[in-house]
Amino acid sequence: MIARILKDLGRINGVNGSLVVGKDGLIIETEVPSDIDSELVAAMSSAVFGTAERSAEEMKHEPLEQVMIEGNRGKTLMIDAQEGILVLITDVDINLGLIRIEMRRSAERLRDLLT
Amino acid sequence: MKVSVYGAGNQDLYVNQLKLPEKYGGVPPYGGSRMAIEYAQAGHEVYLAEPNRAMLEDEHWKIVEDAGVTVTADDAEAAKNAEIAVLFTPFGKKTFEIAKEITKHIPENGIIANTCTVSPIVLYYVLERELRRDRKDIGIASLHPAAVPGTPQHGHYVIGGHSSSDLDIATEEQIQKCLQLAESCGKDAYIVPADVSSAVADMGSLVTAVTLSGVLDYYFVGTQIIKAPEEMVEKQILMTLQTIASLVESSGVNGMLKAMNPELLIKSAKSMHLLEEQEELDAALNTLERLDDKVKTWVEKGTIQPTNLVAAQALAKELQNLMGETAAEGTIRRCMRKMFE
Repeated sequence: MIARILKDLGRINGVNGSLVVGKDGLIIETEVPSDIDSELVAAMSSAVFGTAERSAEEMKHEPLEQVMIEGNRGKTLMIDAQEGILVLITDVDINLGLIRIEMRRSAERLRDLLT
Repeated sequence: MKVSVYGAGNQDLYVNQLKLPEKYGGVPPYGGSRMAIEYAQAGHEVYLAEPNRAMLEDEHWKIVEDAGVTVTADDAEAAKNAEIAVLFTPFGKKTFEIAKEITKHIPENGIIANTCTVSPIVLYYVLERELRRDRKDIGIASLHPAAVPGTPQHGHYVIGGHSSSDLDIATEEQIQKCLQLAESCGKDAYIVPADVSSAVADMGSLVTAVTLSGVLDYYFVGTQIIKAPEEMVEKQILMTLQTIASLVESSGVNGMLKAMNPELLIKSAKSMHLLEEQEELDAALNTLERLDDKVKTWVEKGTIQPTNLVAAQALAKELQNLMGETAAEGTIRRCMRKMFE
């Protein structure tokens, strides 16, 4: 079921890969290109999201919803899925609004599946 | 109880290299095969999984089978028949592969127990994905024989219980089952925190015993003779232990020896001889003053690698503070796993 969600996200234009990772960095499901180390990305996502969550707390902006890492050659988006984090790896030029809506929808479904 | 033991034990090592019969007594077969025999003699239904028949002589296999142990080369078959699967295999990749195979076949609420010098927590971390995703019912414990099974010294087991952190890798019922198995063989059973078991069982106990006596000596001298504040004495103990541990981790024993410089250490430690009776220090100085040429070669070979002298608990707290408890726990677990990969 989780694999299905990632496959659906992969069909969106500009999405190159996706993962669902536990908040502790353990991979729950992965759909990433073979040149990406999914174990490492999972660990990094956990660290980035956890640190962003703590920062949001300190700045009284909690609860954290999304994190975006914007690079010259692509973007990484992360959204809270309660027990886990949904991570999307995309091109630079993407329809950010559409992707965010789809990520929110997927995160809702993941919340039910992960609890 | 249904028990499966993995690994018969290397009899060539025990009999010909370590010369256990002459030095310690007992008769072969030693090791995992002896544990299987003892479990069977205690009335349990026992499998011994060993793919390599050459591990034991034919006469030893006969002793095993005559005791009522079912011998198999099939790890999965043994797992299907185990309430407790005991790993008497050298710690490393092969053991992890066997353990992963066991998770696929062991009946509900089964226990995988390791017997070697690494913490059952590490075994849990290695199997974490399988355990959390597919088999939350499996418990990870340890049944350290704390001596070579078959020698008269094997009178007790060290069992990993609840860990000193919040992570519980086995239920109380599963821990008690290990205790019952040990006691059914007429052995004493000691339950210690799972993450402490490797330090007080088997070969780790050698380092722990010598270190502990040094720590107690310094603690006594520091608090009772010098009358320094307890907290200060504890911090100095901590700093020393961390220095040794960090250097061994980064540079190995040879590199640590080079950094410590035994000659210098002897001179410094002698000045800490503040009482008439400091037997631990006397023994340590005696050993260090008689280091043979082999040790001197180790020092020469040693390279001191870049080392972070990290206060592990302070670092863990800082990680928790920066990235939250769950992400920090994951980071700590990955570090533990990497240390043994």
